Amino acid sequence: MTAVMRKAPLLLPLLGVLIVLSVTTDSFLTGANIENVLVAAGIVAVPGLAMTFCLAMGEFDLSIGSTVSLAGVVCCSAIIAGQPAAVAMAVALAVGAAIGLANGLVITKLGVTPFIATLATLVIVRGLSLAYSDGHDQIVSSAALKYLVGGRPLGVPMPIVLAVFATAAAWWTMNRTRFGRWVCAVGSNREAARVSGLPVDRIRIAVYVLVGVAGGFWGLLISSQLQKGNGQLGMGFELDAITVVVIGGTALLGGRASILGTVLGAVLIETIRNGLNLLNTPPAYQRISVGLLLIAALAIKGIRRAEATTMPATAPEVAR
Amino acid sequence: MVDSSAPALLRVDGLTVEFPGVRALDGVHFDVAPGEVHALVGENGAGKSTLLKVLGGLHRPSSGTIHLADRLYRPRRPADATHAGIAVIYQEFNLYPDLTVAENVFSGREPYHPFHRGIRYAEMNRKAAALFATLGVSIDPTAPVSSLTVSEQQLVEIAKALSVDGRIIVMDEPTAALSADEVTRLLDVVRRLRAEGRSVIYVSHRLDEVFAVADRVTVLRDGRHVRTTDLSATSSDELVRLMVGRDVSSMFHRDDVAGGDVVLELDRVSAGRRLRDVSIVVRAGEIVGIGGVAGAGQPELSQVIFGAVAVKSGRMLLSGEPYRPKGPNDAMKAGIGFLHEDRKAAGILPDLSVRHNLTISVLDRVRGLLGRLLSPAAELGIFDTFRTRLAIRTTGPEQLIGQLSGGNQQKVLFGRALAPGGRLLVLNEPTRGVDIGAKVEIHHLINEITADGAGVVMISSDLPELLGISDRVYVLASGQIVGHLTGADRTEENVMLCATTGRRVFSAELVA
Repeated sequence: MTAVMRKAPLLLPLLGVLIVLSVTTDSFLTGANIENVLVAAGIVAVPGLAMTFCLAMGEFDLSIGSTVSLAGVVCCSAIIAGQPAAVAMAVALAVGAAIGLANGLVITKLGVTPFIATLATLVIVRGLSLAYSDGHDQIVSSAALKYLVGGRPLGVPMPIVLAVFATAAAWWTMNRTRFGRWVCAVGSNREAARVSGLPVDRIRIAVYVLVGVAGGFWGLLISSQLQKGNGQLGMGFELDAITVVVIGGTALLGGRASILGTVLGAVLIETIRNGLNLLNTPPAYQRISVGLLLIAALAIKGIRRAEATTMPATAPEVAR
Repeated sequence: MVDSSAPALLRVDGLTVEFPGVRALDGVHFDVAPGEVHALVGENGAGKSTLLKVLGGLHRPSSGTIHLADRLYRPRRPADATHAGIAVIYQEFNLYPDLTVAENVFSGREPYHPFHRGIRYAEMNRKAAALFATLGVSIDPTAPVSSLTVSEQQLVEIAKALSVDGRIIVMDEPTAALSADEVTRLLDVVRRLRAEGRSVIYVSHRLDEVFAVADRVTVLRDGRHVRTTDLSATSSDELVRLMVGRDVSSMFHRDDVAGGDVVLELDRVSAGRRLRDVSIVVRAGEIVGIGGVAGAGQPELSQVIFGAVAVKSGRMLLSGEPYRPKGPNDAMKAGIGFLHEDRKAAGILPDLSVRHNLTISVLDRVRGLLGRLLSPAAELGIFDTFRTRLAIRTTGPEQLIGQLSGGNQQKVLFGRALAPGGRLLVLNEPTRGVDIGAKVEIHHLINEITADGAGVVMISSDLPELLGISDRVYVLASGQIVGHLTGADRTEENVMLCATTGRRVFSAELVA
């Protein structure tokens, strides 16, 4: 049990929330509602997984919320212009990749810190999205686009299927491939990684491209849900993506990552949102709850670390 | 000399510090008289750092007592130590690089105007200058700390200790990053502190300094007190024996090696801000030492070979072929291994395991299935090889590297540099901050590497090491090669002569 707790510290709070909601509401523990929660969790888990790589590298990407909007707008307007849905979606993902590439180049080649660089991109891309959509909804009716969220292969909702595949791929990449190891190495000590001959700039750019593509995909999911694109969509989503990663236990300073933690973080956040909905809590209070949860999650880590540092500052040297 | 029978200013009795699974200190006793310089020596892992952290209020002992001027001293936080007049200067300084020298010295205790509360900069700067004057040095109190050299930053730490009227000043490896001149100046400062009646606890690996400056020495080993003695009553051989607990040939001496084909040649290379017209040759099986005072361009030389600094003019040849690395990545691919001089800042990956630290440069060699996925079996193979070959003391492949002692971390980084299996190894300060036992092991290891046919470029500020294991020594001064010493010309006097006067001594043609 303690081993499980160390690997997945979120399991216990999640179980607690599940029990509380099952007892206090009639509607929580129903098949349809659980499915709602998992669908919502699946949608935020996909970009959260990409963001996990970014945080493992000791950096983060604030621009993803705007990418969501621009990708959705581009996809929908392409469909409206008569392009096949597959082409429209590919273009939207390419837009995401381009934004990620721009972030990566500005950060590595111009030496702008990630916070400022992606904050700037957040604003610029939001502007592009508003300009491109001219402030109007781009309403579409596309079965293919709709399938992304509404489809049920083998009876399982698409977002859950996508999240499962994305989780497997992310776990594999993080833990079993050279790229994942490199990302953690850069996050742990960038200078040492450079001295060890790692292509540090390329690794960083690749991670931003990954986050950009994931942001584009998130935009497709949102447009699929709403059947429209809009310059206003995705406001504040960057914080959702970062929140699920941080709650999931990936260190903000980088070096270590928890893929499964991110998924559990997504499930926990969406469970709480769902529960608050069922308890008829106004959206404003839901935001407050998520913020408090974030503080609580990090406070537990902070307290543990404080306890650890009043004893050995680093782990003790091994006796020889 | 100090009368060590005088009542102790600081007295430590039966001090035990336990961490989960480890007893870092085990019943240590130790005392310091007023106006005494008391050296504390021992291998890495002997418990010196733990003892300092207890004195500085960072660790709490599990048992034992400390008395300061006959009153029980039980610090719960660093501020308690400062308040009691104990100033600990850790190896990693606690300075704000962007603030000025005076702002750092008086941080938290800035003199301010009683009415409008503005900081009195003129007064603060004047006081800081006065502190430096008592230390016999001159440092501009208005300069930002980031513009200072390491040795000046250390003096800022010492001034900070004086500004709170520290009665006991504790220095942890104060000379680890200093040049010979700077060491001399620091030792003078320590003597001045003693002359003022302050006590100094001086932790160092360098026994010559201990003999030069300390009154008494306490030897720790494996967390236990081994002996406290007057320095006049002991010798460095005896101290080494007490520290290690066994006899060690104090320095490895290598037989002369002829060397095979030329592996690396630098032909009038200028690079970075310092290097000018540097020509050197490294042959297979040879250890080529690079000496000189700090700041002569040694790091730049190693970085240009490793592709981290671009060549401005001149050319490099690797096994006779033109060699133009665009970055460390190219150097690695060309089979060059590199050990950075700063283990913490540019060496270890602290969040990663020993296994992952070893293999990080060669992950494309441990790919198994589908050519994309890492093969844990192949990685463990590399781990096992190097653990045995380098005698790395670790609980296993998954232990975090940060939990190893300095010497063992260094061995892991050696393994990382060796893993590409290269023909050339560039070693920067290979034994900085490691204990004597590990040092001897590393020297044997470098010798073995060359026996396998690799060429080694070794940069070291440790002269006995440089001369003891290098076949030839080039001396750098102000970015130029001013000496090339072979055979019997490899003496400390010759190196220092070239390095400090810029006079040229060539016992052989520059390019051999």
